[in-house]
Amino acid sequence: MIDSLSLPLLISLIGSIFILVLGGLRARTLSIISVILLVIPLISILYYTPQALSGQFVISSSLFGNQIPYLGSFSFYLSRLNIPFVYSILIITTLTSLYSIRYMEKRFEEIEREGGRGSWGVYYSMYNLFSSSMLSLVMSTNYIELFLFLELALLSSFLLIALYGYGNRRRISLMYFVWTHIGTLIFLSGVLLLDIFYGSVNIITLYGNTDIGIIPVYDSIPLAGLVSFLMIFGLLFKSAVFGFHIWLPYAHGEAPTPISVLLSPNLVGLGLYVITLIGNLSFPSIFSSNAYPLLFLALFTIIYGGMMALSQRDFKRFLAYSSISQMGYMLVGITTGALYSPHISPSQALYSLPLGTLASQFVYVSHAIGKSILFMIAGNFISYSGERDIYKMGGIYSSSPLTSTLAFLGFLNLMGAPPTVGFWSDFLTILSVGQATFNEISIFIPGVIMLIIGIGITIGYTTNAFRLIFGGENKGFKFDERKARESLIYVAIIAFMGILFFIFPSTIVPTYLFSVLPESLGQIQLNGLSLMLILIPLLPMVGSAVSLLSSKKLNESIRGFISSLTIFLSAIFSTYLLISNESVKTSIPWITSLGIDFSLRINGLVSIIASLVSWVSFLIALYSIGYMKEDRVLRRYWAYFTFFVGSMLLTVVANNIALFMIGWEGTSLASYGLISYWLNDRKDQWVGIEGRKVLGLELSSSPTKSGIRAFVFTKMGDVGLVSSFGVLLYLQAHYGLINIFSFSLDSILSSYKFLLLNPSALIVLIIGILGPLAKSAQLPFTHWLLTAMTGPTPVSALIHAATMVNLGVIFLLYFSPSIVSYSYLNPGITGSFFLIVAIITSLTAFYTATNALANNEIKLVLAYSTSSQIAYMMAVIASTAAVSSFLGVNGNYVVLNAGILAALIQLISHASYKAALFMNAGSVIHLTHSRFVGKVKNLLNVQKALFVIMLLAGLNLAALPPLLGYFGKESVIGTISYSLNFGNYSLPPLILLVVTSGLTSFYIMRLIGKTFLYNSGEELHEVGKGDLTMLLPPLIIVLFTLIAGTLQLINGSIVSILEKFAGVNVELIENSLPQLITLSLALVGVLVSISIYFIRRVDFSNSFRKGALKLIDDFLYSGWGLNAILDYAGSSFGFLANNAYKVIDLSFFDGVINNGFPYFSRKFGAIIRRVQTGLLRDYLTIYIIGLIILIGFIALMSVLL
Amino acid sequence: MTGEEFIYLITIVLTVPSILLLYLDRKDEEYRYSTVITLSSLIIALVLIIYLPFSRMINSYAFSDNGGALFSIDIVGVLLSIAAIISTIITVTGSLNEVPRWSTRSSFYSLILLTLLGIIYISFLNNIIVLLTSWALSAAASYALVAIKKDLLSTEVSTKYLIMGIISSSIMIYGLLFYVSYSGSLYLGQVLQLNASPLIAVASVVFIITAFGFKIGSFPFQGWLPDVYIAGDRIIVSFISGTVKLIGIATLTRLLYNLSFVVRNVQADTISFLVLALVSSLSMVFGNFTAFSRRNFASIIAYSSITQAGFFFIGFSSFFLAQITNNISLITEAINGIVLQSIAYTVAQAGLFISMHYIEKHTGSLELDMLRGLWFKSPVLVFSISVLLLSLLGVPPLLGFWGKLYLFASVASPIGLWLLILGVINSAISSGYYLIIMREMFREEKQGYKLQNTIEVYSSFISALIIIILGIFTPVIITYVG
Repeated sequence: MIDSLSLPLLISLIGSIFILVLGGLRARTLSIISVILLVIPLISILYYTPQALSGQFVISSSLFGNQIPYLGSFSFYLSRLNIPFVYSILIITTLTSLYSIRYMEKRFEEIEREGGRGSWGVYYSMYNLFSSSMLSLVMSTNYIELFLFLELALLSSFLLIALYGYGNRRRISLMYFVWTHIGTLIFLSGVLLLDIFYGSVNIITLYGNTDIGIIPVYDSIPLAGLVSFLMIFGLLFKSAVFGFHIWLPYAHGEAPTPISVLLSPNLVGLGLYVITLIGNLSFPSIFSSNAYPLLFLALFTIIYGGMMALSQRDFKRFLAYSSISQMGYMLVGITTGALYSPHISPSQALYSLPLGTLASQFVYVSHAIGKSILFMIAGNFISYSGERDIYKMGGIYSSSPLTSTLAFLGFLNLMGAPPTVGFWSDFLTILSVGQATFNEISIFIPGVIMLIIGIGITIGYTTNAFRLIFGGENKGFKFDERKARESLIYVAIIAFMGILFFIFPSTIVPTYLFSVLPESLGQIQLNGLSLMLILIPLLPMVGSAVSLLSSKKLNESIRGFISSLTIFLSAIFSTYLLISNESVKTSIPWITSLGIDFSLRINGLVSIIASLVSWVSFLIALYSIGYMKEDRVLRRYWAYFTFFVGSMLLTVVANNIALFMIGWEGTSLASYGLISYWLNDRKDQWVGIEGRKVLGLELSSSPTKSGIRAFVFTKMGDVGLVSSFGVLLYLQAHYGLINIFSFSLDSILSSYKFLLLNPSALIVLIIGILGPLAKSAQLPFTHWLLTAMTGPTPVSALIHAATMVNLGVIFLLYFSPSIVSYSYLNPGITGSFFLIVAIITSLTAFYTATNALANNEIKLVLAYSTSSQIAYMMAVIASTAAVSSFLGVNGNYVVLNAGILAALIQLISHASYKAALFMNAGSVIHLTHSRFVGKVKNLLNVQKALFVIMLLAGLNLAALPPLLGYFGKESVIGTISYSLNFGNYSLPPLILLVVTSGLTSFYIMRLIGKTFLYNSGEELHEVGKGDLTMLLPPLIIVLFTLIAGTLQLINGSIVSILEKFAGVNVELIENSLPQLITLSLALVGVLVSISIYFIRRVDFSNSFRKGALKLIDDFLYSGWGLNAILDYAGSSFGFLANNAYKVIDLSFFDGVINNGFPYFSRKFGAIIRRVQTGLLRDYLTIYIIGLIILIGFIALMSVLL
Repeated sequence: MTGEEFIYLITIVLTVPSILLLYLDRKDEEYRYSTVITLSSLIIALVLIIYLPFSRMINSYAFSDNGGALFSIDIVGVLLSIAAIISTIITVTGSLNEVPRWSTRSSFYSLILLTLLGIIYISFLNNIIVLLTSWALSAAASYALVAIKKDLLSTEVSTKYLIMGIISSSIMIYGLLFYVSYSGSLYLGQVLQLNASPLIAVASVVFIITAFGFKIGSFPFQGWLPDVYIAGDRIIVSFISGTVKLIGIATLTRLLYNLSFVVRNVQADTISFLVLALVSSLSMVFGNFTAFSRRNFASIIAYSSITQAGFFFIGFSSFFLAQITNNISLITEAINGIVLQSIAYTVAQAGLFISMHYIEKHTGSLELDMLRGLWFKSPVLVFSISVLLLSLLGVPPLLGFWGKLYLFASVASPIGLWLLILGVINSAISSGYYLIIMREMFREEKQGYKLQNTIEVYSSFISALIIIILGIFTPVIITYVG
């Protein structure tokens, strides 16, 4: 009977009806009653949660005594399986109840103006009924019981839409009801069949009179396939996956906003929750053996929902379509979960889940949080400014910073970016796709490709909406967030939950992972060194939080110094660890149930990189203080800046792939934020030449668009990387001895062994390298780095010199030794993989260098050069790895080690000259207020010091001795040419790289010459002294390279220090022929360039505008056409999405089904009603005819049967 | 008390007042007693019926003969009778304001009681002769009822109803004839003759469903129904569309249930199933489409009751399906479904037509536009109507949900699956018109009329309460009754 688990739920349900009677009370009072009724179940749930978390499942006794004949027992349960849903619903419904008051007050006023009347009693009664039905639904233990609550939730939400919705609310509410009602009834048909065949429809039931729960498995009943098909098919309507989705945009878009908050984040996902029950508990083997079609439906839903969201103008409709896409993610998790563990027993499914199922729970939670934040903000816009059209909004970021920040956090949850719980949903979903589909390579490839597209679109539509709503110029949209202060408190609480659940994911999703190896045994290993190690990535993160949360009134220089200080401390610690030359590992128990600890490690190689990153970042931070002085509020700037550095350092020192990816994704996010830092999109912050068209397209980009491009490009690559990790997890469990897997970096590295045993290894390796290639802006992902120049110049310096772009190199530094060490298993695959990478990267080096020749934007030339110089590092590692692989077991690791060392030298020298060049470029732009070269007269005369520093940095890039850059390039070329001794594999990369060095020295001298010596614009009158913080950091760096280069020239000490710390021991080959050619080409480049641009100062700009030369110029300017093609593809994708929306959703679903069907029914009804003539004669005729037909039917049947 | 005594008692409880009423109509003060008498006799009858399951009489036979009995006192009969009495009570309470103004007021209650008696007999019937006499009793009374207002419209519709009723009665005689000649016995369920052609059984099924399909308004025998429901007096229709329909439902349940055991021939069972399923599908589709095209409350409910008849036929067809598939549990589900749906349907119809009467009295029309803003005038009434509509739609946890649930469950088998899906989809589509009525009532107001909560509203409210309470406790009831 009724017990302490079921009673509160029943009180909550019945109480909601009772509110109806209390309609006369004040709204505030009613809202308090409503909250109390919602919280009552929380108390008992909280009480039972520890028990449920410990792995038992709590089940109330049957509500109506024993089993009801043919139906089974109705009770409620709580276990690890439904805790995420239970708590999400409780959090969102309670806060939304409070949010409702202000919103519905306004809504009622509107309704009264239309001639209607609002009733608080009805509103809160239905609201609570809706909320408590959802809660009861996820705790139901019986399919009929579950259906009952599905219908109650439907009915109450229907009424709320019909009464208080917007637009054509009467039609829409009806449409909502009919569509989902058809779905639930089809589900019911399946349940009824189950009932007939099995005699009860319990999901979970008690064993006899004991407390032991049992889960009936229906896999073996007759027609189990049909039964489960009907049930799932019906629920697909409810979950609004593609083809069943058309009611959702209307219902969620036009519902009163608090109801949208419940519908979209909470209710839709519950359909999929029920599918989880069907798939994991009731029909495990049938579901897992038929999950592929569902997987592809889900993947398509992600893409389709995203495309539809992209083409919406209405904010709420946009959010509604995004829900469809998110449901796709959830279904992907459910299906991959089932596919990975077809033989997990249902009772086990209540305690520990496969990765995919876990991912689906995270998607539910993150979607609930993200979408409720955004709906609440959309609601604020509606009630305080009456605007819903995204295209009429804009520029809110400056007037309403809190709203913008919260909305951004909401979007992050949907994008799956840290620091929100969305990261876990995204990360686990991608992993699970790799993990679950790899054994069917024909599923794996299209699956991953669709996921890459889907996630790309998701990032695209979310960031695009953020850009349109919050960025840009204000177009007359008036919104004062002070009026909405109360509601922002609730939004902020939810947003905070999103961050909290990111840090402590197992508090909301009891992540008990099926077959995972715990990383440590729960012991904290702390000593001085490991504490330092932890502080290296953590301090900048703290700095980030401080900058964001500190008062607006704080002096910006102080904020800058605090931020710089945190980075400085990281730098000190890194250097200390470098000098102490110890390998340190640390591991703090974190998400033990997921086998993920906060585990970091540092060794010689890692500490070199960490020191480099932190020191360069520190100098750039110092420089920023001066550079950004003119801006008033820099909270956002410093928050992103330090977050960027922290994320980068985290990736560098992470010892498991979860932390590795958190940092990795963090850099994507931070770069997005910083590239689109100038959210108002002022024209002078753009890149590209206005009015210059190639192939009919103006190759320019605004800051906000550039940010999106960077995020989309890098994220799409990351999907490849993570899904390859997923494959490695699968292989660990599959080939490993104990059938379990682990997230630790060591296990991942060693599972490349299993990968190389597999014939499909090459595909996985190539999919995996997409992430590093995208991050390092290698072909075909170069485009984003160029447009990334819209960010403030220090940011460009940061991205290029110290952080994100180097991640591709870091990946190869960390991963290639392992892959090569297993190359004996399959030298062909590893060798060709690395050769492909070597060719791609060396081609990039050449490609971007040619593009740099035809550009007159200072920063753009430097961006091209970054892509080019990074390519040197990747190429040298890849080509030496290729050679080592082809040599197989007898391989000479000296070759790879030499490659690694060469890449390190190049990494350090590139960081130094690129940081200096960018900082100087920033100073130039500061002075001239133009991003183009030679726009101001007299620059050389007034800025001699700047010129000298810039020239030295330029010569460093040009690789002339005795600067450090020379050694970087020489060792790269030398190493590759040395590797030629073992085979001619790396000849093509070598040739490309040698030629590129000549181009490099030419374009950089051209840039400097044109910047300082060409005079085409106004006279530069006032020149300040120049901020010391802006001049000092580049000077320090240039001096460093000069000294280091000289030292190296004298006794080779730099290389030997690096050798010592990196733990590699190689002899660099000096004075080989290619090196000499490189040096001479560099010299030639410098000399030719100087003679043209310094001495003769030829202006080619007119001669390049004509005839064939123009073609060549355009070709180079547009990145061999690639940039133009990508831009074109981007804009035509928008066009495609718009048309798909018109044709599929509006014409077909809306026109044919939503409008056509009722119209047809009415017409048809009117026709057949004509038999009701009112004449007895006619009635009798029909009566007799009917009888005759029945008799004829019998006659026919008796013949047939 | 024995079964026989129960039959005597119930006969007395209902006939004596019905005769007495006719003599109590000379003065208005006197007339007040007649309503009291009617209601108390109804309540006594209800108590008697409810007492049955708790007594030893349950599952016994009354008036046993050698080899058979006239009445079978079982739970199905009890529940069907309860449905009849409750819906009658709702009609009677709802009519207390209006009927006293009629010149034929006493005959109205008198006829109601007589009809009810016939229905109770039919609920427990176990013999063909009993069926014929009870049918004559209740059918004749119901024809008279339709005409009782003695105005032109009533006379017209009652003539249609009467003539079609007479034809149906003759068809019924044929049906029963075939039944008896196939089984060789006047007692239901008894088989004395063993070598008749199965075709005779099938013919019996067809004639029976034609005759009684007329009564419950299944397609294509529905001709009279919309006319009577739309044009007839709402109070009378509340009785005709509720209680009186049980004549058809109870008879079909009894006859077809027994026939399905009598036939013992797979081919004949299959054909019977298909015929019933065909009638069911046609009714559901016809009712749904026509109701869709209406914009009048009464019209929509009238046409939707054709769909509802289709849902009942799902249960009837299940009797034969169970024989084909040899799965007797389907029959239990079907009986559960029919009984629950009977209560849900009759109570809802009675309540709805009473509400319509009340609305029409104040607004003059039942067009959907006129319903707008009713919520702000009388929340109780709108609440009741909404509950009744949702119950007809089959929304849990209302009683109508359980009825439909079991009806659908009764054809949940590979052979019946298509009918199940068809029923489910038709049920879902019917939300398209039920909800429109509901929605209009909640819309912003336009009319300036005023409403008071009178007896009609309470009557409607009681029916809604019954639907809710029985709905919530159905799992308990089903568990208890088995």
